[in-house]
Amino acid sequence: MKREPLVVMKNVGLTYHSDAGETRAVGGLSLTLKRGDILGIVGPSGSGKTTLLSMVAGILAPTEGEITVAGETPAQAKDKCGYMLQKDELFPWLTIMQNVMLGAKVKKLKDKRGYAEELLDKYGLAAYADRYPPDLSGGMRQRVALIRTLVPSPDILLLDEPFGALDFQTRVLVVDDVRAIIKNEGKSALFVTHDISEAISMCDVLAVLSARPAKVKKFIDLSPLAYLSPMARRDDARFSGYYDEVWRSLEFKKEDLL
Amino acid sequence: MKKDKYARFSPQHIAYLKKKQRSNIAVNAGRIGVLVVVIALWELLAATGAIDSFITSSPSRIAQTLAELVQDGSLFKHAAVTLMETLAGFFIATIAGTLIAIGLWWCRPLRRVLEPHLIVLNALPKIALGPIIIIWIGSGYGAIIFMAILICIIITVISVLSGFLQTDKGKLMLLDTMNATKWQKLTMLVLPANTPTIIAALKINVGLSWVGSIMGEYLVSRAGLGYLIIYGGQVFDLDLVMTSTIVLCVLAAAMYAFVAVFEKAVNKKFNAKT
Repeated sequence: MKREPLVVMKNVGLTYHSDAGETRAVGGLSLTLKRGDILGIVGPSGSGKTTLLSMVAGILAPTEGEITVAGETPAQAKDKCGYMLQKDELFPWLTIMQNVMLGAKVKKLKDKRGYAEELLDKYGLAAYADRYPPDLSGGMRQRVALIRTLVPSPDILLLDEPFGALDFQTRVLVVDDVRAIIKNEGKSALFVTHDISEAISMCDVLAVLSARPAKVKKFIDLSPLAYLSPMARRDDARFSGYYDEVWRSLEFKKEDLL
Repeated sequence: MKKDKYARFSPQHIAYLKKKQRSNIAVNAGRIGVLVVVIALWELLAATGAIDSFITSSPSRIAQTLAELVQDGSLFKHAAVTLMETLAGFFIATIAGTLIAIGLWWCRPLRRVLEPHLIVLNALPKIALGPIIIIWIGSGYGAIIFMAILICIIITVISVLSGFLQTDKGKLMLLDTMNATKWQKLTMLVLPANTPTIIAALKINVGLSWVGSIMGEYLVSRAGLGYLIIYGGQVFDLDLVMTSTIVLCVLAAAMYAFVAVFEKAVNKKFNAKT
């Protein structure tokens, strides 16, 4: 079955200017996210991964190349994307329900409360709807952040290292939850991370980026693992093979750190 | 009730709680003790003639003056005038200062242009503008309120604006990803996140608005506690000066206490839950 391409980036480049000079963060980058996939983007730190998401979200405009999101420009398709950041960024003065409804409120979407209630209920947070963020654990807060992203019903989730702020144990559990939620809700996602194991356990396909200016060095198909949950993938015999493949294609050199 | 409260705790924890309670009682006793000792010593020295109560007044003479001022109704009148001026200056400066801070947050070029001027205005001792204010506004309550506003408003703008500019970048980014308008960012994030900053400005303004109104009354006035103090000084009536100062002390403390209670209530909603 051939699935429809949802996000298409063709020879995309971005150069930005600051007092320090001119930086070409991204150059000649091409990739395609197909509907229903979770596409992982791994690369060395500072390789423009977040920049890439910002361009898809329509927050930053590329200086070269072309991006289409569901056939439209990113600026036109802004409401088709839901962004999830590294930190949960819950507003401490709002209840969990109010936090979850934030995106819908900003976008002035009516009748989303029922959906929000449904999601909270489905993912074990219904009892916390009227509580405040400090009452929740890190993993629960991250789930709330994901539900906040889902409530306006975006087609595409843009996940910018959304587990980076969690401790290892919580992270493994939340990755499991998040992949299940994305698949249940029939969403597609671009998932940025610098953690190779996390990328392999979470995604359907990986794009390994080069250092600045970022472009895709290699695509790695993870569809043979599709039937496994992230947690089960970590125990699978093929896991370390994929890990080595990603690691080698990153061509990580010690000198780069020095 | 109290027994029940302790029932859940280990003997060690009860000992700890009792020790803490004892130390709190000791501190409170100390606070009251300092006042009692100072007043008693003052009275004693004045009564024995060790100090000249014509120059220093004395607690008993202050009490007598206070009773007289209450009896002829003038205490209430003067206190009310000063309180009115202070409150007007306090509220106008806080509200206008916050609005100006919102404007400067909204418009970055305006902020960059006005920044050095604000800093200079903040450094300027506002009392220096006294003569100008009197000439421009006249010598009524308006001039005094204006002085109070002038003293409070610049620091309000600066502190509230700096709070606005320190709003969590991640949360602003979140609203950006939701395609929020500037107005939405202001009302949904910047203002609620900075409620503690604005309350802190209120606390500073309590003190400053009293400075403003009393200074204003020193310059021009026919009524008010500042007027009583200046008048008492001119006719060498130190009893009047001391009595007015003490009334002023009590009023300022009461206003501060109000703001502190308000702060506690608001922080419970906005600050404590971070």
